[in-house]
Amino acid sequence: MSQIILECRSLTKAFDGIRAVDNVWLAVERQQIVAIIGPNGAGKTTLFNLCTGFLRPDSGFIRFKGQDITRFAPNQITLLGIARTFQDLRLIRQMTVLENVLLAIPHQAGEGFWGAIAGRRSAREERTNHKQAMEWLKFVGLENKVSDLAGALSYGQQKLLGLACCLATGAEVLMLDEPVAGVEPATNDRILDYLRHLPSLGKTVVFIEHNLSAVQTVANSVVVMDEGKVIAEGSWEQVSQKARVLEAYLA
Amino acid sequence: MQFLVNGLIAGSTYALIAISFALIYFPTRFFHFAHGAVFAWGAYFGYISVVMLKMPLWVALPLAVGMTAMLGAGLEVGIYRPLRRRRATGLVLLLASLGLYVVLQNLISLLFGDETKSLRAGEIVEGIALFGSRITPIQLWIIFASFASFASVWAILKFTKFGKSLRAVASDPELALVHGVDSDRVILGAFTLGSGLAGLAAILVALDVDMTPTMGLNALMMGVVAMIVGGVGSVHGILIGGLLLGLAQHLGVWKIGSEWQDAIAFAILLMFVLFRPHGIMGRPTRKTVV
Amino acid sequence: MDYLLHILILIGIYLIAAASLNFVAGYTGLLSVAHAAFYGVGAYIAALMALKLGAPFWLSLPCATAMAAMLAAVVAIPALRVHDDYFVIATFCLQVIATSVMNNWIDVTGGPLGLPGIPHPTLFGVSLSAHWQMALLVWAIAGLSLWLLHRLVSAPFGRVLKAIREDEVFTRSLGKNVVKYKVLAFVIGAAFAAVSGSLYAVYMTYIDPTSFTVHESIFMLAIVIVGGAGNLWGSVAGAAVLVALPELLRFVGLPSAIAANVRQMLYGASLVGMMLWRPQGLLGKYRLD
Repeated sequence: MSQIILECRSLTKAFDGIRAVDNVWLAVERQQIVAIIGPNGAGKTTLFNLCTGFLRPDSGFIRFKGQDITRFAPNQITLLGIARTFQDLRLIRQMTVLENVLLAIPHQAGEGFWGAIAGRRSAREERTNHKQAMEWLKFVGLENKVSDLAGALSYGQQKLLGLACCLATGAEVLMLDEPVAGVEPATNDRILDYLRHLPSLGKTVVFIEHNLSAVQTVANSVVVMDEGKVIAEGSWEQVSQKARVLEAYLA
Repeated sequence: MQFLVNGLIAGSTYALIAISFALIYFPTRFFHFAHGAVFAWGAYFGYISVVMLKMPLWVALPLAVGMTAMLGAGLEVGIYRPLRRRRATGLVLLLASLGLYVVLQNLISLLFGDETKSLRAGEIVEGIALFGSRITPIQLWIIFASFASFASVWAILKFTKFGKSLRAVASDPELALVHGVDSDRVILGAFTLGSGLAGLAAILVALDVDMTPTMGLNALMMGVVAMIVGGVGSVHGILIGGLLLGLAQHLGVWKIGSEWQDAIAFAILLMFVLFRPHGIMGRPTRKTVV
Repeated sequence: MDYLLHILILIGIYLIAAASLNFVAGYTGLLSVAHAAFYGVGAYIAALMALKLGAPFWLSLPCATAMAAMLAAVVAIPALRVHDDYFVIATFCLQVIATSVMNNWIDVTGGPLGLPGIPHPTLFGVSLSAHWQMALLVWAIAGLSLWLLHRLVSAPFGRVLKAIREDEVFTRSLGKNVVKYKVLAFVIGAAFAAVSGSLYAVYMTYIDPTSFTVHESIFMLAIVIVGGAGNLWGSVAGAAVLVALPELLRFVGLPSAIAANVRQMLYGASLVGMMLWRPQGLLGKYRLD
């Protein structure tokens, strides 16, 4: 089995003539924790959008476990095994914490028209899914907030919920857009702790962050982007020299 | 040849209605459905002035237009502004405007009856012969008024403080606020001007083809078609959109028959909505994904 | 007594239409003003099958439903690719085109004169022409419809719909095929609208295009909103209120022409009032704002 689970080759995407992602090559190894850093506008979120099907590249391709997913729709990509969070923290605020996680579980019989009408198998499955959802909620420490509306949680708790939803999809690769940004220190450490734990569960993590100490403590591999291009990659030690230069932008 | 003339007349009407609607849609970005009822009320204000109060047209027209402008402004102050204060979504405003349309249109039916009413003094005027087709004086006035209104609106938007504020609010309300633009006042101005223009259009239409309580719905939708076909943000685009719509519709009428004219207009709109929502002149808005 | 039953029958017919529109607009967030078009399709198909083919109701009802569903599928697929604001306009276009066809395709629909003499349904050889018989039929079908819709919204299927209403992008990112669900919701809504329309046709025994205009679509939307978007029982309450209450006007002694206008003004006003003071409607939990 190849060590490379996700790769991008010559990926380019331009808006109104400006190349948001410019000939990016990326190779993510299994069970790694990869950080993508760079100043605002460097193309990091655009890269995420390309890899998860929310944008089509102008050229280049993306391969997941050897399969070309360049033209796939976002929901197909999630079902294949890449889940993501969003920079602006998307959740269903009017549903409960538990319902959000239940939503994330794939291949539910009750989600189909006939499955919903028939009901018996769906009810059984729902009970199983309920247990599974609780497992993930316990993992992120939200088991006491199960019946709260997602909108009522604190910012940090919402980020934890986002993480739980990603995990509930069963995806092997988690792409997290700023998982600890704007979160108070205690929750910050918790989230990083969970991230560290994920490779042992068979997960691969790719995350965007501006918080360089988070990157330093958690990432095995760092990719630095600026103006759409990858300008450095390697371990934190290898890359931090260049990062110092960029830090001026990251205030 | 007649269809070209008819198309031009219809197109000018649609364009005028379209710009009156666009003036309101532009800064508020919600579908002020009740504009159709305001339009109809314009014609009936005209009826009150001309037929019931027996005023001469040159007095009645500005009076009726003014009353229509006030009606539109009243809706903004009384209903939409309080809703906006409560941070109502576009959906809530749309539903409220649907309700307002129903109330206002039925009020007309209640007060004036459903039968067709006329603003004309008397005889049917035979059209002037022009290039082998017929056009009446009032129809010429429609075309003139439409173009004149467009020129005025364009000038207002480009050169006056109000116009610049309107464009600012339309493109970025928060930024406009930072620059000291009072968006409530600008929106009120837009409603007043837009409703007044609608009143003008309605009276002209009524002088041409008489009026009914439901005339506003059709007019509104034609205006929306023109606005979307031409491209929301572009004044001359809307004019072109209106004219094209009128011509296309009457071409269709000539070939297929007049009972299908509504269906034709809406089929055109449907095609644009599905395949080119930014219209002919507008630029494709990048669909923000994440 | 017959008059009371008449009101109950109308409430039953409208609640099927309203609950299904609620399913589309309230639960899934697809604001459609074309519901009366599908309602009309159901009515005309049921009427034509009875009049031209002599088909029994138990056959014409599913056929009408199927035809409306197919029509909805054909229009939904392109219409659901466009941004929300434009979707409403697209449904408006559909509604007007449908009314235009009803008015102008005279050979088939009878045009503005409509289709008179539609037979009542027969059950075991008995013609259901008495009010109480029709009331039972309508409410049996209404009950079944509500039950089916309830099953859909309480299942994970409903959860996906609600999620789509709230945040399509997030829902897509969780692996759900959002377009498929939207098309399904729209088609299901149209199917039940056709059921409602078929019942209307065989109850009134006469239909014409004026019952299937955009005004009717707005009326159905008003029922959904006043009753409470996102709550099926709200549509029952809404139908009861908006159909029955204006009927009380009759007892006030208004001449019928005026009563019709006043009735409409009342429901228009209730829509505005709801937006101002209670956007979640009478029974809704889902706030529109």
